[in-house]
Amino acid sequence: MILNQYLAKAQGVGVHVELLSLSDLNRRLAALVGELKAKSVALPLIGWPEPLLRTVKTEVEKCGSATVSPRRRMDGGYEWNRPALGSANLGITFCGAFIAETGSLAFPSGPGLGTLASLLPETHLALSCAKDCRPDLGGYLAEFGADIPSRLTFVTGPSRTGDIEASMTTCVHGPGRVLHWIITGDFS
Amino acid sequence: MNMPTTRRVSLFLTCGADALYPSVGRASVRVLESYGVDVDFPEEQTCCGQPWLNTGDAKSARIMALHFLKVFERSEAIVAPSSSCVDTVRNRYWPLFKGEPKLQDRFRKLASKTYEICEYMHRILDIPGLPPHPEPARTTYHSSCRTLRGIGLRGVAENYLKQMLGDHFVPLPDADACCGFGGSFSVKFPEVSGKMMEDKLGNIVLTGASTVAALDMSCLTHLSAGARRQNLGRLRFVHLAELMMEALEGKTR
Amino acid sequence: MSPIVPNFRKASREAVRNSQVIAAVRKTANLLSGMMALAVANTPDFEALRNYGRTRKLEISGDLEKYAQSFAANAQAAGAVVHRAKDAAEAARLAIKIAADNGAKTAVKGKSMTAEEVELNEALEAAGVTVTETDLGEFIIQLANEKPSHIMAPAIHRSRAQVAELFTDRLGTPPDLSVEALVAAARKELREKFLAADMGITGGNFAIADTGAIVLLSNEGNIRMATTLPRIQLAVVGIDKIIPEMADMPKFLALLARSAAGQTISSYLSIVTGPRRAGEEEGPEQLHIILLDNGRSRIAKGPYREILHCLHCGACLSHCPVYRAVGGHAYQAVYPGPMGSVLSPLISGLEIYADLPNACTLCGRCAEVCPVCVPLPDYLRDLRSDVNKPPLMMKMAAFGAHTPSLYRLGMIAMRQMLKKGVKGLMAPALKEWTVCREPPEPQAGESFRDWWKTRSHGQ
Repeated sequence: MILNQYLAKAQGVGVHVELLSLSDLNRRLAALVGELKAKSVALPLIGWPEPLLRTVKTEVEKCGSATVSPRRRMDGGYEWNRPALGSANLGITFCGAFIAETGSLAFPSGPGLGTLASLLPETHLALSCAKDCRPDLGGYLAEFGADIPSRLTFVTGPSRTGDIEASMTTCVHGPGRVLHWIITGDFS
Repeated sequence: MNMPTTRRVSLFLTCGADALYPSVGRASVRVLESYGVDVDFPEEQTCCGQPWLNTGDAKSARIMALHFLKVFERSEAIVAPSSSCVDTVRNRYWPLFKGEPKLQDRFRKLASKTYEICEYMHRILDIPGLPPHPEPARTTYHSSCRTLRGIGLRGVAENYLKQMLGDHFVPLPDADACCGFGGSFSVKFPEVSGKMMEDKLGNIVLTGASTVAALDMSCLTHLSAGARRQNLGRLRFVHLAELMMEALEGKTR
Repeated sequence: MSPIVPNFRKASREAVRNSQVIAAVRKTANLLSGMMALAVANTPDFEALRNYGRTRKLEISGDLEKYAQSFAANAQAAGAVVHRAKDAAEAARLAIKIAADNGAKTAVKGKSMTAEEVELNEALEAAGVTVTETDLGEFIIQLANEKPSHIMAPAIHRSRAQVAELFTDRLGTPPDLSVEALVAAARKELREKFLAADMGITGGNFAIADTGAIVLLSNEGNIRMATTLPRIQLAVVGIDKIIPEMADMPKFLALLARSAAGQTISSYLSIVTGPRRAGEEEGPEQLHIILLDNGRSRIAKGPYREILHCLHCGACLSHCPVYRAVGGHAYQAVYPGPMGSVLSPLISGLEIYADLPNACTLCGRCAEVCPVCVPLPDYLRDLRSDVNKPPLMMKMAAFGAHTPSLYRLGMIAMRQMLKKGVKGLMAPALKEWTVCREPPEPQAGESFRDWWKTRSHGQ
């Protein structure tokens, strides 16, 4: 029910959203990377369900693309190689919560949970588990209680502007194309 | 057998109709009378005070409000052929008397029995329909801001026009846009007022109408004076009551 | 700072003649108001939401300082540095100091009307900091060396062709680019600035008292860049932007996004709570928040308090028939249109902006669309009492108009005068009237009063 609401909302704001089974993922990833001729793919490594990350990383590399990921620092934190990140054609991130009411993807910050991979490349692919759909923004925010992360980012469709003659145009500073593949079934 | 009691109405002519448009006053009286309403005209009446109220002279506006109260307080109902004057009496008088609860109460009572004539026909007399007009001309309707947003009358005048004129009634494009009159605005910023007026007249011309009806003669004074400046030919600007009178009496003017 | 004395009459007279600007303003204003209408129509409980917004805002504006202190304490607890600025000059000094203390030489900036109010760019530039506007509309007007003409759509007055010409002139792009190509050119130009900037400057759409968070809406992604990439972040936020709890935010967001651009939410929503935390790879090392008062505490205690409820959505501008006839620049104020005609005089001085409360026909459209029900026409009418000195003629007329015998003589005189030519006291008003119109024409024949008299005698 809320998943259907999400699908309708997300499509309405221009997200290419679909439901996939884990077994379809490899084929679809290969097709996407091939279509974009993506030389390098930005791929944060933290926060994923392990099988999903493994599938993505293996498939992307199998396609001949390099993956760019945050490096572990001495102090235990992470950091991006920004020039390398800046040249990635595609960013693939895990999205652990998405909101039916608004059609939004939620990205809370945390060590290794940076959001630049969903911002700098022209195409952003978010992968989610179907069970992670939330009904509304208010309920999702309440999950944090007083413990709000330093950055909580909601992405609702592509980067867009209407600043020239109110003519809607995408890909201003962020991605012009947002794909959201929601993986159905159990893969833990 | 219970005979329905005769409704009694005091006509508030408004200064605009008093100075410029006697036909609007006459039509108002005859329309009301044709529905059996007993109309009186308190001769001590003057102006509602809008020009002072809207230029920020609250002191003078209070004086005008008190005079209006003196003249009309004992009336059963007050009917005026002007939405903006009714809006003033209904929505602007009582806030002028904050801190004087007794007086404010009297103004609220006054407010509750003051109506625009078209509104009175619809809401109080409950007139469902009007006869066809004997010589229908292509007519459009300017729904003034105070009709729409002041007294909240939407679609009522348009319905009456449709009944009287059939296909000769043509809705105005961008109907809820202001015509640019705005009282003192029209002389403080005549260039802007003129630009807004041009747009409104442009839309009127688009409809191909030869008659423009409204419930506010102040907008029509502005539009008709502008139409003459722009040599827009023979456009007739009327209060809706005038067309109603023609339809009810079966003859034009 | 600017020596220009605002004069709406003069500016608007010129503005209405600029058909290119007016056409551009209308096109966008029509689209924006159309999108809002659609979004509102698709929200069944929008009226309830508006009432909620107004009621909640009344609680806030009734106790502004309490919420400001609570916000400041919670933001500090989250690691932000909160500065209180009592006026624009103090805010500018604070911003300069923050830049200087951190050796910041370049800044990327998101659209912020509060920063405009502070004239932050001018102040920082004078102190040697290069500020690049990154919202596309703001970027355009910065290239053109202009001021915003709409609080949500700053370059509303410029056509595509004009922007193309500007880009060719300033960025060397090929002539007559399409909108898509112009956007791509701006992306390329600004991406480098984002990656190199020392400081990111933003405003704040909401500041949440109970968590100390700043909430920022953007569709382009520039705000995400400016709050993620540079090592220093500065947010300049008016104290009127504070709302009590995070739980209030989705509702105010729903009101703002629908009213501003007909959206249920903006493309990006960034909730920023303090600087980067241990282990995180992004976000600024320091987050500075300047809480700007600049008259707001004073306004909250006065009769125009609800203007502080304004969400700065711009709906009143896009719907205002005067704004649509003259565009934003004619107001010669940071805040134009209906909300600006209330706020600008209250912030900058009634004597400076005495024209603005009068620059309104009281048509009521703004109040109808305001997402938090600010009584804008009532305020504009009331402000006239504060700025207008009634002319002697009007004083005399008021005396006459409530004295029935004088009033009747006046009406007769008026009819005669309009028939035979206007002289004396009425002449100046008629001169302005006839700028665009012929004099009013009284109907021929007997007056209503004469008709009534004969009629009653006959009966």
